[in-house]
Amino acid sequence: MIETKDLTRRFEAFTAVDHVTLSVAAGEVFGFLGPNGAGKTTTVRMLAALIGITEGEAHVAGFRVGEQDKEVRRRIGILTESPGLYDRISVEANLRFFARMHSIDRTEEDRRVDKYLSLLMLQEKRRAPAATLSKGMKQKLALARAMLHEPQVLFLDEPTSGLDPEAARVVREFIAELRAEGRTIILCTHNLFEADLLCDRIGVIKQSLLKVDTPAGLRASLYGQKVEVRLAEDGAEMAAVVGRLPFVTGVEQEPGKLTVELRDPDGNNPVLVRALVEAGALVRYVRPVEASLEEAYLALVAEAGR
Amino acid sequence: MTDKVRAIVAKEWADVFRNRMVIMLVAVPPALMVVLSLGVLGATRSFPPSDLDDMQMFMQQPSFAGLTEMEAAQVVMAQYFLTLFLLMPLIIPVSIAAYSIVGEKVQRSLEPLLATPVETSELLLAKCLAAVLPALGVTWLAFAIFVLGARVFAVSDAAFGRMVSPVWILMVLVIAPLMATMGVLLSVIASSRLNDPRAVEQGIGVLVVPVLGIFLAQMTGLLTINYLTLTIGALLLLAVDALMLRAAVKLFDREAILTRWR
Repeated sequence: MIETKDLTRRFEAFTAVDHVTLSVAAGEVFGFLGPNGAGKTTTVRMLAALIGITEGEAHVAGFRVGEQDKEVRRRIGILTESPGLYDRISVEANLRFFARMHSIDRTEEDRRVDKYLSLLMLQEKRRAPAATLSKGMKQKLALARAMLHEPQVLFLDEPTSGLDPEAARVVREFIAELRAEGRTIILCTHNLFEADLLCDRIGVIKQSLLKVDTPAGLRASLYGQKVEVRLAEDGAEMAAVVGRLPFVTGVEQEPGKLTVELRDPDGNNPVLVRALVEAGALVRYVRPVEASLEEAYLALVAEAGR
Repeated sequence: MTDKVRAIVAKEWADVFRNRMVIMLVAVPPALMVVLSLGVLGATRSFPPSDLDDMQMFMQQPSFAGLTEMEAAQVVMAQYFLTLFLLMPLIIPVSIAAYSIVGEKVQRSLEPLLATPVETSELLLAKCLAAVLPALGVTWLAFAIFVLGARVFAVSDAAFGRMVSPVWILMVLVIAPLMATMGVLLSVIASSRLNDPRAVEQGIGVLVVPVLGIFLAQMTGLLTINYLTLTIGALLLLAVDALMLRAAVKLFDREAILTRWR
């Protein structure tokens, strides 16, 4: 549904997005994770045919960005970081205006306005000026607006940013419903919990795409790097034994527990266990340490910064 | 006009005219102009003859031939006010466009709109129409009221005929839209850099100077409004509007709005 090849955007001397090659399948929820200024919004703006591409190419819903922009824009919906509503007109008028921009006929417009107001629990506020809505309601209205023309591809930039937990949950549930409907969603977020919960795959971006994997795969990129060894005794002296092994890069010791950082855990775990047993340790069990998505993300971004 | 342009114009009016400041800026100048101009015309009828001595300098001009001093005084007053009427199509659309475009910038509502299949030319056209049409509406309405009032207050048919001459009617019909277009296009240009509608209005306030220049030139007899000056003025304004349209179209482009507007 979305294909990019060496997608690059420069602003004079600054490269905001650097040779991003990506393929997002229909029905996939793809998360962009990255620090501020990493190029997430610029990438979305390029894919939404809002700004030009300096180098490389992109196709969205089968249409080439930069050449078939109107076709691209017909098939996408966008939720920008700020809701960007018309504050003085009503909730309903905001939606109807965007329905006209997408050339939706009047009967269908009535149906969809009702449908999305109802789905996002905004029915009671339909005649209220958008300015009077709470932040969470504004975000829900912006989401309804992005969905009104039922696009194949949705770009959601920080959809739950600044929302209270209840509003954030409603938005997340709505995104989960859209996912179930088979829509392709690009989700830019700082919220790792949200990314973990909603995304099929995550791309960590810092100008260039550092890594693309499933949330589990990203965590696994750090899982395997650490193992926890549970011992039947205190094990203080065992830290030194383990530390001498050539593939071990770090050891932390707590009573009855060693956390060992090592290269190639699959190959070296048996050697580690044998060394401990030969040194007289009573090993209860060995298990990989599960890194959080946050740890995996921070490690990747830190590595890119070095 | 496409459906999208109509929808944007309707939305602009629904949005902008809920702003009391904009309503004041659109309604007060024409109302003041009508009240003042008709008040002065009415007052002229009761000027004592001694106050009309200054009219001798005008009476020499061919356009005043055959008029009494009282009639000439009314014609002079009416022409001053008619020049000032041309300020309205300049000031009013600036206020509407400034609040509309800067408002979109401040509300950050342009990006979602630009992500729809709307053409930027449709958007620019709609923004212009949304500002120009009410400005022309109130200018022409105010002018119509002035004409009716002038009919009532004119001391004679001859005075009325000179006050509301065909050249002045053409002036209001032709020059006013060109002035309004200039005001809107300048607002688009200024709004791309400024984040306060009042700053846009002040920045464009400088446009008032040429109109006041015409007013003064007319008062001192340096300029006579006739078909020739009307044609020259219209052509000049058309050229200025064309140049500004080019600049506005360049600025009113998706990428420019999202990356260069501050």
